[in-house]
Amino acid sequence: MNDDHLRAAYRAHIASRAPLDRTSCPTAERLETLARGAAGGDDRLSDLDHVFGCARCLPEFELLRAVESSEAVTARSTSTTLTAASKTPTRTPSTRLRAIVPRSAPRFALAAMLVLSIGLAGDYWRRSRMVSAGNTEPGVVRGDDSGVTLIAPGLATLSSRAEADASLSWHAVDGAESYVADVLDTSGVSLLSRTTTDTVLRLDRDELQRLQNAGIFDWMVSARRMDGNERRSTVTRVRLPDRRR
Amino acid sequence: MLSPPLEAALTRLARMIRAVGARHGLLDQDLDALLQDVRIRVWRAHPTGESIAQLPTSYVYRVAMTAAVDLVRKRRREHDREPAIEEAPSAALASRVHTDEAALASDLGDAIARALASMIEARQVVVRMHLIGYERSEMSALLGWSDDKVRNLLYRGLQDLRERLTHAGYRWPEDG
Repeated sequence: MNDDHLRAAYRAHIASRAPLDRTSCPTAERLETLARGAAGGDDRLSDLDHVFGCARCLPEFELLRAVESSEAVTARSTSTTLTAASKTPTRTPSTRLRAIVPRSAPRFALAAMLVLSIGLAGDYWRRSRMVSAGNTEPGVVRGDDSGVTLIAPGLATLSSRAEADASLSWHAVDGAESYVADVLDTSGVSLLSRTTTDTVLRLDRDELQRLQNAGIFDWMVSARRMDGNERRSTVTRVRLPDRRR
Repeated sequence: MLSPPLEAALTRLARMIRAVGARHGLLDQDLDALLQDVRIRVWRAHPTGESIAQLPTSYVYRVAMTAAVDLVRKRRREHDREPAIEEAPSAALASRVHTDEAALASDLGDAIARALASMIEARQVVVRMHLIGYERSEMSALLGWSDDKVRNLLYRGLQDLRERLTHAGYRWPEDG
């Protein structure tokens, strides 16, 4: 019996007892506060106790900490005044970085965590967004449940259609007064951004050429509604076959 | 394309999240989608290249954090609507692995849980964090406690855990 055995058994234990509902879990916003190390109040201890004993909260918490840790590393690289000397140890960027790198754990425990986390990853492609009118962070897009549903192209290819008929299409959203279609290459360069009132965007020759040159691209559609909200589709990746073959 | 400092921030973000992804099974394409989403959010909020160029890098992280929180919220809402379609079978499969090793680990896991439940909350938290793999400095930062306090709680908590497990029949190498 050693620490590794204890850790593996503990991880397996919490993985096998993942809660079926999340009513007792801290909210996503609370997880963010905890991940920032900025949580206060009487519940902080019990919330953290829950997170480290909950197979559903833990991956979410780790994801948020990764984002938080990235910011800390950047802050360190750009700051010349950062001092680490303190009687009370603070979470320095280096310790944050150390904390998110993979830790030793027996294979079966990691596998259990992976299985539980895979759903979180898969969800990304299904989510949608809206701009909240009451958003306290200007310019930050908040999400909701009902987004835009893309029709084509999905995993199919544009080139399977006649070039004159190449288009992007999606389902209509109630109350939408216009739609914005965005296409990005895999490095994040915008290939196309067009506004339309239709649910089909026909590509002109130049636009189609840009997408074909990219070969692989991501596209999404935002629906702008009259009430000022914006709803968004998932980001969908399209891979075009090599036309030179 | 975002400005070079923002792209650099995004690249750094990608590296950090990939580290977590490797640990928790996030897929590369999902990470790509997250990063693309961050780019689009920034563009939507700042349509002109000039205004984007003036944004501080911290803005990217704030947007990324918002995107990540949205992801968590959305995930939970979907889970509420579709109870346990994806997860329950996985958990069930995991618990049906009838190997000796799994059975022993399961027994040990139960024993650890019982021992944790009997501890005061402060000890419980630090021992849980230790078992997940957190370092003391991380615990200090997240809990807002001094290193001395964390060290003391962890020492006593692990001692307590060990005593209870020993009492339950588990042995450590040095025990012979």
